[in-house]
Amino acid sequence: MFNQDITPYQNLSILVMVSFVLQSMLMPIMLTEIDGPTGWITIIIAAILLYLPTRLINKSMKNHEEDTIISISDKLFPKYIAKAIGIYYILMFLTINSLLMKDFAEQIKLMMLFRSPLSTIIIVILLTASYATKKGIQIIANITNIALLVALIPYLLTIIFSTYYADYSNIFPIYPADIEGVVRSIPSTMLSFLGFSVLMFSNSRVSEKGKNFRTNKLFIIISSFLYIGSYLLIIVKFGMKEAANLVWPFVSIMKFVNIPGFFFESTEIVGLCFQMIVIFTSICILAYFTNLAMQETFKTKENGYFIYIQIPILYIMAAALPGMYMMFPYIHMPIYIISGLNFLIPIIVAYLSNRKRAT
Amino acid sequence: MKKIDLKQNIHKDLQTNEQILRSIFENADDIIFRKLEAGKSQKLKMLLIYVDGMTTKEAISDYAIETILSGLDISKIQNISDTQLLDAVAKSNIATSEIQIITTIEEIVDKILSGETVLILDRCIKAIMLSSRGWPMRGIQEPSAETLIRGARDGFNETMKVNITLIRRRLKDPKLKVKYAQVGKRSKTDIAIMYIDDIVNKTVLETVEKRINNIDIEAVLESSYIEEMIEDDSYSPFPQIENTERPDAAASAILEGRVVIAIDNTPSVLIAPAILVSFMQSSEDYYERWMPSCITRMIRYLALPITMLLPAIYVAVTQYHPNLLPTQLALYVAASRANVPFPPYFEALLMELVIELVREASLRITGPVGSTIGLVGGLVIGQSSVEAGLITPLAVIIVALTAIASFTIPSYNFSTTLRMIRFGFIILAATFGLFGISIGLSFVIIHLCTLKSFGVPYLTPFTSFVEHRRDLRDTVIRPKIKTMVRKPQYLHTEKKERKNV
Amino acid sequence: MKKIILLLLILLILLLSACWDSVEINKREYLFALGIDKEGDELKFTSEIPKINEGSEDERLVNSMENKSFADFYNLSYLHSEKVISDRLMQVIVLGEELARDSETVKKIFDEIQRSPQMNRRVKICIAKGKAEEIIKAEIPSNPIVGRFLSDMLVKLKRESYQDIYTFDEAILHLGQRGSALVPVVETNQDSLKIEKAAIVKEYELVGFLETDELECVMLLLDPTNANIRNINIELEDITMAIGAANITKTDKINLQDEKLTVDYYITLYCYVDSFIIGNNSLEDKNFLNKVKDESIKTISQRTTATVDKLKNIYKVDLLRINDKLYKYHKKEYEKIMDKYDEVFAEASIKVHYNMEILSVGLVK
Repeated sequence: MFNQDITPYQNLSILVMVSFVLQSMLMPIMLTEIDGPTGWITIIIAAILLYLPTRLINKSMKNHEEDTIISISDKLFPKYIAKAIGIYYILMFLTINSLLMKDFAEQIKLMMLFRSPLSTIIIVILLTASYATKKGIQIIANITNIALLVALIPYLLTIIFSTYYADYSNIFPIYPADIEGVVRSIPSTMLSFLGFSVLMFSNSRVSEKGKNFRTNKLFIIISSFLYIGSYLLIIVKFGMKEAANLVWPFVSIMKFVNIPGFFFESTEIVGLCFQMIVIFTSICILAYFTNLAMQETFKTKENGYFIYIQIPILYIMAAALPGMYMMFPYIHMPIYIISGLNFLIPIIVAYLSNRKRAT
Repeated sequence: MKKIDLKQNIHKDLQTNEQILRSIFENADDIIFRKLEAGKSQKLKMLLIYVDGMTTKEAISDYAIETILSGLDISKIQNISDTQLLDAVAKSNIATSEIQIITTIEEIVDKILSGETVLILDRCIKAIMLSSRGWPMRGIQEPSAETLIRGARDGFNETMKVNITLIRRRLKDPKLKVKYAQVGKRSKTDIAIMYIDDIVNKTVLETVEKRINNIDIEAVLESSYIEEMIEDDSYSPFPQIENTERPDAAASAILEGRVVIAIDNTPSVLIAPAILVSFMQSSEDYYERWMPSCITRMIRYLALPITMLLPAIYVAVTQYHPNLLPTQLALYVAASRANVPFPPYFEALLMELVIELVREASLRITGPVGSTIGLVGGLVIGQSSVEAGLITPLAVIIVALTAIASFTIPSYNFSTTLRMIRFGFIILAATFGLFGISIGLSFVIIHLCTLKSFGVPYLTPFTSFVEHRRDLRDTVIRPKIKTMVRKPQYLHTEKKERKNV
Repeated sequence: MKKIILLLLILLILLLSACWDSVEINKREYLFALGIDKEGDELKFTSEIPKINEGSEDERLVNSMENKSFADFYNLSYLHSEKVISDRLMQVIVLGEELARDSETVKKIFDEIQRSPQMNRRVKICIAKGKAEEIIKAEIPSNPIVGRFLSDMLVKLKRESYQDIYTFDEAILHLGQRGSALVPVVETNQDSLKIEKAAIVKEYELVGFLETDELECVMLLLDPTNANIRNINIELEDITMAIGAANITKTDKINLQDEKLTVDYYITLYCYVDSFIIGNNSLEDKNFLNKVKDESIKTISQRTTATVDKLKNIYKVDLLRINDKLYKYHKKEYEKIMDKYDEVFAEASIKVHYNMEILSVGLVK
């Protein structure tokens, strides 16, 4: 009854939340790569690609109910390969988290606190996030659900209300679609479903593990719907050309909130406040799963204290990395690699574990 | 003073017993030692001990002393053993409702101090306790802090047994259990844990009992002592145990499957576990028609962010984000602030301080003077400080609105907490604007997510709104009673339904 | 204990970090309207700032300054006032006619507005007939603050579909996507300002103006559901009468074959009779009504054809957003002619077929 595990739907909300934030961060890449508003095809293809191996992965997880991907591979592979997988996940989570933090801090700086130093903003975010991260998975799950209610839903509503005076015919032309662009942006889209990597860890902490397969499937469906929805909203509001031109389409769109009878002058700040809680929650989630990955890789019992190792690393990375939009020209190769690894490692591990089981 | 062993048994010799007890109660002049001799020829020495003022004198004089003196046939007792003697006395027509045989000095002391009368017989190693509790007590009045338009007018008073009665009158169910305990090394305060056996979750009940038994404290003067000793996180500003003076609220909590802890000498009864939602509910919600109640509840949930954030938002907007305001209003605010010497955050803090002062002052002094203070504070200070140009009219409106919003929250201690953290938000807003508020809000949310009340997460059902979706119905809105067929899910009660008992 | 340390750390940081961005609301001054003119190589910024003092909020300060860019302008204004200048409540930007004709400068200004995180993209925009400075300096007795006056007026005109756009955001979207936009034109009008015309901006350059009735025709073809034809004046059997359209439906057929563009609009007007003459009962006569219909269709067709011809031949601007439709629904064919679209448009046959139904003759027969 009062155990330390999370419920299946809390797991689902964690996966959806973290994916949503990554999606909104990586959406500009997709917008620039595809000529024409056909990014939703990419999203559907990416979702299907991710959907296919979920059964395989869940089957292998069923045999190792309490194990994350790292401890499963520890049982399958030689020690150094398992360690390598663990370190890969740690680095991947750290990089993405610091990118997220940097991007987020920069948005806040530009939109709200123009003269405040970036480092202060990052430190404040980091310290608050570390307070949550130390408390364990259940707290993270609780926070995610609350953030879903008090922030994500108002945030999405804000975006929906911003498409007042929008031109709905902007979703055309569908045909002829830019197939090359669609294919090229699949890796970044697959990466933006980061929940796929997180579920390798979070599934092992769910109280009713029988429902994992269901929630994982649901996650991919809900998340791709959210992605397609927000993609279309942005396309509808700005049109393809302008959307590709924007650095933060999600922030720009919130400048146009126009609820009938709404009298506030600039609403992007209110939207930004909701967005802040959403992103903040994702930072907590990612930081927690980095902790978990560290715990599994280094085989220690306690994981809360890894946050003290993470804080300086995250701070330095976030301070040193350039903003997301400055990295766009160089980001393609890393994205292909990370996205490929994120996709392939679970499949290989699951396949081998199933085979071992069969023999 | 030599140490007396309280654990020792009662001596055969009455004289010794008296000496021991007298030395225990040395310098306690309200303890009455009354020596009696019963029987006509064969005298039997007896000693009655009781506390003056805690006993009903009639019970002792009319029913105990008189019957013993007149009714006891002493002639035979010369040769009988002490047990038989005790039996004979006990079975004589002592017309008190409750009689108990006690054997140790410690028990004697305990009973005397709780208002019973103890009868010690010569040659007996046991004593008889005659129930005679009775002390002046307040009548059953309507609790002033929890008044309702519609609903029962009775409230708990300072006597635990009366309080238990008030609850039992509402739940005539043999499954309603009342477990006594005593807490406080010196105060020896009686505590009753009440629950319905086939509803309550046994883990919660065990936790409550365990925590109460582990309390090591000198005295319990109010239920808050117990509250602080048994709550999960005493560092948290948020209350994790509900308290009420209303028997109907307590009864409904018991029905939900919660545990009620009644404590002697206080009208506030504790209810555990308590979650955020329960602090936002008032029993009147269920006594009015459901549709207006829904609206009332929604307004209350609206009051929650207002109480916490409004002054902070004022500070953030005026110092950082004036573009949030509609243009006309922005110009008006700017104009009204033109001659004010203080920065907005100071203005907000100052006015909040004034409000807290007024509130505290009118609490201390009740009656007509109290309301005068409210008037003077609210009108005169507000009005004249605006006229003097110390603060802006908008700040007065904001602070007054915040104060009013804070009083719509039914639970007093919960709204006090909100008022307290409001100051933190003002400071955060002054340093970082809305970003600060967001960070503060995140911090509060994280904190609330870590809180648990007897194993129940504090923010249920919001933290697991899919699993506990049925509980969600009784949060922001009030469902029809007809449709409330299940007990709250988050309490994991033994019996899940409200019907088919 | 750890909690306390963490709390202390956060508090410490809060204390160490002063409030860098805090500027009290009364220590800012708010640009309400900004007129930009071209003065030789420099830009002349005319700013309107409402005075902030109690009781008299309808006073304003108007300044003119010559600068190179927005940033330059802010910098200089910073040095000229005791308050912090803030563009966050900016209502309207007025571009001078001369400036609007210079596409390079317009591009520069548009980019600066678009790039700024502070400035609201919803700021309204219009082009001044003549100098923007004169518009900002206009004294309107009823509403002394020009920024507010123009802003309210533009909102109203957009809502009633008199103008195609009203915000900077729309202008930049239209210019970016379709290469052209219709920007409201503001003129002085003794003791007040008026917005009747629209400026045709093509590739960030002002190429001409549309008169009121031309604008009405364009709006009719662009947004028929919201558009309204306030009145069609016709003369029939020596009686002048006015007809208004209450409800308009439109379907269009666009065809592009071998660089030949044919566009057919089918428009149905649901009309009511606004004015006739007392004592004449001919409105009861079906034939007479048919005549009215024919006559008014003729009138409005002429007007529309003239407007479309003007767009096609004089300005060569596709304000009807046919290119947008081509891109969206006929992408393959459109991509072939994209580079020489202006020529294709000039050669296009655009026909508007009107149909009219008189729904009501008013409260009397």
